[in-house]
Parts: sequence; structure tokens; C-alpha cells
Amino acid sequence: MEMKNGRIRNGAANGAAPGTRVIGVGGAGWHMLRALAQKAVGGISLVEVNTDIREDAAMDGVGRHQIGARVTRGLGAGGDPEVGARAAAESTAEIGDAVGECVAAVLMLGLGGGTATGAAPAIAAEARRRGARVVALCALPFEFEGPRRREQARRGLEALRGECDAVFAFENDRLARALPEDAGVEEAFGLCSDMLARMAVGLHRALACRGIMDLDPADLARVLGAADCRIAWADGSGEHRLNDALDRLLACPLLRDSVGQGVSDVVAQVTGGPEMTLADVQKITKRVRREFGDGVSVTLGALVDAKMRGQIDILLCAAELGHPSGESGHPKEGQEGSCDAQVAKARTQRNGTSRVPHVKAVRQMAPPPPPPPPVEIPVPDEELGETEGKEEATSRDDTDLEERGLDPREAEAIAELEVGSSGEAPFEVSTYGEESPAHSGETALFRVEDGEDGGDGVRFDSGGATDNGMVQSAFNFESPSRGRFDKTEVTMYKGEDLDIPTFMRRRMRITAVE
Amino acid sequence: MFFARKDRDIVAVEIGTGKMVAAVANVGRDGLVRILGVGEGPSAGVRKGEIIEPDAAREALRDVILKAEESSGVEIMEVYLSLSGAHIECALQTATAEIRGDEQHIDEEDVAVVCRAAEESQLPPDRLHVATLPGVFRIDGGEPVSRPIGMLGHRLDGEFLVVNGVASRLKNIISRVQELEIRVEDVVLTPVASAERVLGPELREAGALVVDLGAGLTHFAVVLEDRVVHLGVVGVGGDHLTQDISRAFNLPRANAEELKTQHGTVEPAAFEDGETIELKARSGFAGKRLFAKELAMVMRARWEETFEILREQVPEEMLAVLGGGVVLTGGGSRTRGLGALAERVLGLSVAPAHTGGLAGNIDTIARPELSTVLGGLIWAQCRIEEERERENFGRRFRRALQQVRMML
Repeated sequence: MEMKNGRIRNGAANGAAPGTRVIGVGGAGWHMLRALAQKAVGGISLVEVNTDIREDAAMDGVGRHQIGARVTRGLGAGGDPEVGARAAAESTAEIGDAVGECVAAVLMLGLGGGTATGAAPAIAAEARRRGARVVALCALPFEFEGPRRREQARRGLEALRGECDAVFAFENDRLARALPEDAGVEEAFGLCSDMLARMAVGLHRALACRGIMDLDPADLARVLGAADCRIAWADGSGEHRLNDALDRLLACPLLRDSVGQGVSDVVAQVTGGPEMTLADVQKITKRVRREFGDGVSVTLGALVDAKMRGQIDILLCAAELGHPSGESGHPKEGQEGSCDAQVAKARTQRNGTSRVPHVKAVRQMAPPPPPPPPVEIPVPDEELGETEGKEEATSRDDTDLEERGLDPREAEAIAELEVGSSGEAPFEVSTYGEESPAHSGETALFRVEDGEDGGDGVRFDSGGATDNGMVQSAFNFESPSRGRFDKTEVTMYKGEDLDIPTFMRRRMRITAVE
Repeated sequence: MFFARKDRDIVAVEIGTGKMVAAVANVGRDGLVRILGVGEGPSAGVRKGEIIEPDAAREALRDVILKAEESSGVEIMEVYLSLSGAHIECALQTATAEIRGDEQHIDEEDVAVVCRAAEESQLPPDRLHVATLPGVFRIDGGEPVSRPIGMLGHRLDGEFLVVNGVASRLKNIISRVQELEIRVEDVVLTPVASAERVLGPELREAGALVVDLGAGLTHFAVVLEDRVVHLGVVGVGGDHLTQDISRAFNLPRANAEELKTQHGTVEPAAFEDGETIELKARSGFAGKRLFAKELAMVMRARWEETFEILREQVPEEMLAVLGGGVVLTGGGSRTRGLGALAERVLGLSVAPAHTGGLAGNIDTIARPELSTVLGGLIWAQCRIEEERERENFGRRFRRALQQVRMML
């Protein structure tokens, strides 16, 4: 660690430009960073920005930047956003260093205090100026913290919304209501921090990782920025991981008690091991539609992470986009909130299978450049969990696919293999630590839309043209579909998926006969 | 034998990944199993030995049962069903029982007590005890015996191979038969059935590894001193080979299958560099030329890996004492060069499959693809025989006891 001009740094934040930089601002931001640091996620660099940098609060791998050393004399902003704002204005160089070069900047903070409320807008503005996508995750004060803090939080939120691509404001009181009555304050703050940390991971995956199916950041921003955005997160492991995760996710009380108020858009980011299949992803979509109504627009991002073998985690954001985001400066009581599935586990059981009324999807996203004709990807219907009813037949014929033993994506990948244009086997599993080269708007969008017949049409749209005018292939799958073994359990042996051809795993090259 | 045996018809059924088979046989008074007819057809709704589409599987099975009835002239009411799945696991369990009663004659109940105790190992809730294979006993710590009933002793130790599997998946297979209103008389594990078929008495005694290379799964069983001491399933089969070939050469599945069966080999060295194989164009297929060496390499990679996994599944000390070597069976065993590959990877010499023990059309009884179903028939016959002996022995034993008491 070195100390220079009031800046105290740990090495990690000074390395090569990472995919995502998570910037914890102020005291609450520090707590959230700490929760995130414990998760040790690759591709994310962590930076603390604060007015009072305490030596005993240093964390491994977290870069630290002090702002307003002069204006606050290192003593903090004293709960005054004015001081926080002056501190930011004084320390533009420090803020520039803190933001660095990154694809996505996620600000984590608690609104209502001095440092974060005052300085966060300036930090967001700097990150945006440097070309990063900026998302702020902020916690709003608990009721017991008093009206002054709440008013400060409201103003801070307004200012922040003006500088970020998306702001997700989370009302701590909502979480408190979902907690057991005897939960301690520490537990309440801890859960809040933990949840926002998980969201930061989810956002990193959505914004800066190249996955099987990448979320369009615009979609995410739209939903996240909605005043009534609700978020839930759940994970699962073992044989029934997908069903378990979905059950937990949808049992989340804060998600459930808002069901029925109308949800038009759902954005979800699913991360799983190499065994995750397209059918799994479709299952999530089906289940979400079942819960929120058939009319809901579901946008999914899927990421394969080799370290997540046998596990799955799902981050889900749901919102009614009937009104523009940011319209109501302060979240409406009883509308805003999100939850962590851990809360669900602690408190409630899933309450029946009530469904929301059919809600027409309202898509407000600026239309992308005219996409090429969507390509139908045949996805085998998979039996849903036993708790669910029988899905209406979608009459998707996958026999053709099966006859051929492979699908078009594989065919293309194989062609590449045959031609030998790539130095590596195309079926390498990508890890989410990878930085996204597909960040400049060439994201492949996976969207499940209502077909004419009401069935699920799974389509790949090209998200748009790249800078050089080339359209990204819609079949850019890093992980091969399992073809004939799609409906079977993955045959794993010592960490290898035996359903993937041995010659591919051993990287043998096949040459085409001229 | 106190009672003359009656002849009896038995049926064995295999619901495989590549095919389904029902074999009907008559067990004569001489104990010989005579094949009366075999119904065979392509499988449906099954992958890796497990049912994924119940309706399709049931209908495919119905066809096969009808074919078997037609060819044998026997109406099929009950069957012996072979069970399989990559989830099947086994463990050698030991248990002990004190012999009750004054006479300290070991009776059937004592054996059952030991057997039940061995089965009482903790299983996860979704797992089911599937089978306990005939074990070996020691009476008062003495030499191992296989049939302790009637002997004298204070303490009976038993060692059994206890097999478990995921209940729901096994039930899925059994239900397909029951849906056709056919009773499942008993179930036999696929590797046990295959070992029954391909090992003659000499190899059973000398010790051998049986590897059944099926379409969905590869099964293995280790037989030592005439009993199965280990078995397992590797979740890789001929289907994987077809898929590998299909992906390697960008071929439709049917053509990949054709390539595998007609040109399949695991010996790349058998081909010159640049030597090609041509699949002729036909309706719906543009034709394909590929390097023969590469086909062999793709297949070799898969089988080599499978044998490596298999080798890791069998304890070293077991492999070391298998005097009879390894016997390959199942459709995959037809692959050219596979024996040499197995010998190299497993470090065991390959022995030919035993084809005796059954009477019938030689083209049927010697087919490696039918090892499981034919083994199922032999296994069923052995069970029937054992049952009969037990009944007879019980009567004889009781009668002898009565005579002794009358003498007192």
C-alpha cells in the first residue's frame, strides 16, 4: 500500500482495465463493498471513495481514494451533502483515478448521508464522461433514521438519476418489513449490503461479460430505472438447482407482494455452469411468464461460468413501464423495493399460485437499427417441474434437429473448425471474468416474445451493427448445445462434460477434405 | 431332486437407448434355456438408458412385445426386466447375525437377517435399494461358503454387493412395462445380466471384467469366484460416438451412424495419410468425403477415454486378480481394434464372450447386442432354480429334522 497526496491505494485497482469497476461511496458504500469483496468475483475491481479513509477499514483488493481531504480535513462530511459535493469538487483528480477505465461503473452507496449523497453525482458524471455505462445501486434510509436524511436522500436520488444510465434505489424499510421481527439492526444492514452486492455482481455480468446470451444494457437500464423496479436474486445447486432457484426467486415476499400491481417487463440475468442449456434458459422464461402473466416481456441474459459448475444463480428485475423512469423523484411507498431470496427463506412460504392479470407488454426502447430476419432456434420443450401445470403445447418440432444430430449453431461452429480459421476449438467455455469485446452495441439479444399463436417464440435478434458495420452472428454460442443429450442429465466426470465430444475437449483438429 | 420340474416359459425385456428387445425362452425339465423367439425394434424416448419420453418409450416397447409374441407364439404376461442408468451405484456391505435356537442350524431366516442388515446402509432420500447380489458367508469366521443354510454355527457373517439407484428413474422404466399390463416378475441389473451371458464357468471362477458397450451407457461388472463383486455404469455409449462423428464431420446423425458402423475403427494407424472415406450422395444428403484417419482418431479418443474412466472405477486390487481378463460385449464391441485398445488401457487381456448355455438360433444367441436380454433369461432361470432348490431343501430339511426327533 502506498500513500500519496491523500490517496491511499491498494494495488488491485491499478491493474489492467477491468470489465466492471464497483465504486463504493461513503460509509454505507464501504459496507456494500465489503460484502462484495467477500464474493471474490473475477473481472470486477473494487474501489472505495470516501471523505474519511480509516486505516482500519482497509480491505484486500480494494483500491481506496480519499476525496475532500482539505474541505473535510479527513473527518468525513458530517452528514451534510453540501460538504460531500464540495469534497468531490475539490478532488476531481482523485475521482478520475477512482473511476479509471472501465466498461461499466457500478456505484454503491447509501443515500441520505453527506459523502455519498453529495459526491456520488459527480463520480457518476466522471465515469460517464469516460465512456462507461454507469449504474447506481443505492439504499434509501430506514424510517428510523429520521425525516432529514430521507429528504436529503430524495434530493440526492434526483441528482444521481440525472448522471447515471440507471439508478436502482432500494428502500431499506421494505427489507426490514420482510425480516423477522427480532432481526437486529446489524442483520438488517448486512442483508441490505449483501443484496446490493449480489446485484452488483449481476450487473457486472450483464454489462461487462460476454455470455451465451448478452443482455442489452438498454433493456436493463429501462427496467432498473423504473420507479417501481423490484429485484430478486436466488441461487440453487445440485440436481434440481434450476427449479430450486426459481422457487426461491419467485417466493421472495417483496417480489410477490408487488405481483398484481402489474409488471410489464422482466429482465433477468442467469449464470450457470457449462452444463446450462438453452432449455434451462427457456424454462426460466416460461416460469416467469407463468408468474407475471403471459403478456410480460421477458429479456434474458445468460452467462456460463466454469466456476459455477452444478450451480445456477438468477437475478431478476421486474417493473411496470407504463410510466417513464425517474418520473417520481422519491419512490412511492409500497411500490419500490426488492428483496433477497434469503429473506424469503427466513420468513415466508410461497403463497399459492396467484397470477397477475394479463398485462400488455409496453416496449419503450429506442428501436435498434433494422435487424436481419430473426432466426428461429428450435428449443426442445422441457417438462417443467412437478409443481407446475402442464405447459400448453408449443408444437416445436425438434426431430429435424435431432435427425441432424446438431443444430445450426453447431453447424456453423463446426464449419469454422473445419476451415480451421480459428486457432482454438470453438467450443471453449467462456468464463465470466472475460471482458466483453461486444460492448459497443453489438450485443446479441435473446428475447422471448409472444408469437402470433400465443406460443413462445424464441428468437435471436442481432442487437445492431458494430462500429465497422458488421453484424454479429446471432449464433455466437460459446457453449455448445447438447444436441441429442439435451433432455438428459449432463454426464460429468472429474469436472468434464462427457457429452461434449472427446476430440473437442482434447482439442483435436479435424480438417476438411478439399 | 424330490420333485420333477415342469417346463416353463420366461421372458426377458431390455429397454435400451438404441433398441428394445424382448426375448422369450422355454426352460425345459433339463434346465436348458431354449430361445423361442426374439422381438427387437428401435428404441424411442430413451437416452442414456433413461426414459425421457414415456409415451414414445411405451409404444416402442409395445411393438417389440408384439413382435416377440408373434415370433415365439407365447403370450407375454410377465417379464424379467433389465434395469440400468448412470445413477446406479454399488457398495460391498458386510453384516453379522447370531444364530438363534438351540440347534444353531443356520436357516433361511438367519441368512435373511444378515442380508437385511447389509441392506440397511443409509441412502439419500431419493435413492432406492435396488438389489442385493448373492453374497459370500463365513460361519464362525471360517472359510467362505456361498450356501450356509443347513450348516451349524454360532455366528454368520455375510458380504453382499448392495446396489442402489434413483428411485424415480428406475420406476420410470418399470412403469413402461406395467402400462402394457405386463407384470414385472423381477428386475435384473444390466451389467449383471450381461456378465451372466458372456462369462462361462471358467471365467466366472478365474475372475473377469465384463464391459457392455451399449448405445446409451457403458456397463461393467467384475466377477470374482463366481460372484459379482463390483459393478457400475459410465454415462457414455455408442450414441456419444455417433454424436462425436456427427459434430466432427458436420454430418446428419443417420450418416454419422452409418459411418460408425461401416467404417468405425479405433486404429488410425490402419490408414494411410490422405486416405479418404466417401459417403455417397443420396436424397436429402449431399455426400461427404473425410479422412479415414481422422474418423478413427475421433472414435479412438472417445473409447480410450471411456476405458480410462472405467479403469478408474474398478479398484486396482480387483483388476490385479482378474485371471480371466476382460470380455467386451454390447453393440460397441464390434468396433474394429477395440480389443487392443481395451487391453492397452485396462491392462487386461481380452477374452472371447461365452456363447454356450443357451439353445437356439446361433445368429441370435451369439449377438453381442443381445447379451443383456439373453443374460436376463439365464439370470431368471438361475433364480427360478434357486427358488425351487430352496423350497425342496426346506421340505427335505424339515423332514430330516422330524426323523431325528422321532429317533430321540
